[in-house]
Amino acid sequence: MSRIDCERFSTLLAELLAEAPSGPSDPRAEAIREHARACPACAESADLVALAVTPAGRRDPIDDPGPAYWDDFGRRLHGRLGARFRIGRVAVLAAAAAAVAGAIVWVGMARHDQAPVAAAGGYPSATSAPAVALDDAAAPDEDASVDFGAPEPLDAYADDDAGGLFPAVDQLSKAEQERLVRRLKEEEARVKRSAT
Amino acid sequence: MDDASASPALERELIDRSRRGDRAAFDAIVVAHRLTVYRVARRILGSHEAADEAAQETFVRAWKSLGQFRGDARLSTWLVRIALNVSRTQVAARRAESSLDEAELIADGGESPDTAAERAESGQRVRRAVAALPPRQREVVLLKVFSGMTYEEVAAAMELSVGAVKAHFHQAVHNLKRRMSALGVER
Repeated sequence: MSRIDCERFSTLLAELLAEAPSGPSDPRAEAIREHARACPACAESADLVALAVTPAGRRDPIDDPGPAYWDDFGRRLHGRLGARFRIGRVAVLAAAAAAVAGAIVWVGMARHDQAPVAAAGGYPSATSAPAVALDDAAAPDEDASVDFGAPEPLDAYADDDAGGLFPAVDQLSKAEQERLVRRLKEEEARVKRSAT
Repeated sequence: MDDASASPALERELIDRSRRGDRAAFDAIVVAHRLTVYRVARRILGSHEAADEAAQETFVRAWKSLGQFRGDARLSTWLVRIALNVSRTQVAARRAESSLDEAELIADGGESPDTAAERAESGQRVRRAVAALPPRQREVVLLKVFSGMTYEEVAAAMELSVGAVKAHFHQAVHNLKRRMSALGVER
């Protein structure tokens, strides 16, 4: 004997398809399973029940194609965007780009001892970059150690001179992202000052 | 969504810099969102090759239209919207140039050889039923059930109201149940 009727079954089925179960012991999941076993009409929805009780991340997962694919993806995208990237190339933009790349490389270098380096010309794999705490001890001093050199023309980045050192942004913690934004602004101001 | 994205502050910074032509900032946007875009396209188009093409086109269009991004939705939602439009165009082009069964294309996607046979069969039947849904219902199910987006995110990506998305979703579940019953009779 089922605890719920067919109407309630339909409601819970739709609910779980939309939201996925809250955990392995979600009572709604057990209720629709039990009802589908007991009711011949609703048993025909068994495949949907199986999908509905599956956690969100395991519903027909599509694997990450992997770092080699993303390297190639990045190279091809750079190729397609190359002409557009060169449009509007002026010194100020180049300086800003150099500042951004410099700051990103700075974060990458701070992590370099532990982070795998993607092949030049491609994008680093979001899944391969480890979550490394970027604390003050690990970061270089403000003026320091990393010479970003003079601003370079935008073309200088056509072959991804960041060398794949920059970490995937989605892998940075909130604190790291805030640090990166601060650093970007500082670097941009520094480059602009030195340019004038 | 499938993968994490940057904090709102960093996202704004990267968008502003990309608009000014900063390639490194745009690279960072691509890295943060490429997997989400790829997965949405793969779910709709089925094959890796088609998803790859759609993901490339999505980022090319994003670069060209960043100036039109108003910031009233998250960047990820905006990119999913572009990916949906690109994928729809690909589906329409395929329909026009061949009689390929769209249901077959989608049913073949993403199946792992290691999946247990029964589970694979069940999944296959569901995917076929999803593929047979009307386009809007199918997209709502793919984004809501398989990509784990909220109703609000799906609504923003599909440029529909939340109410319309919920209505499509409930109609889709109703149709899926009917379709599964029919398949149950067939097997």
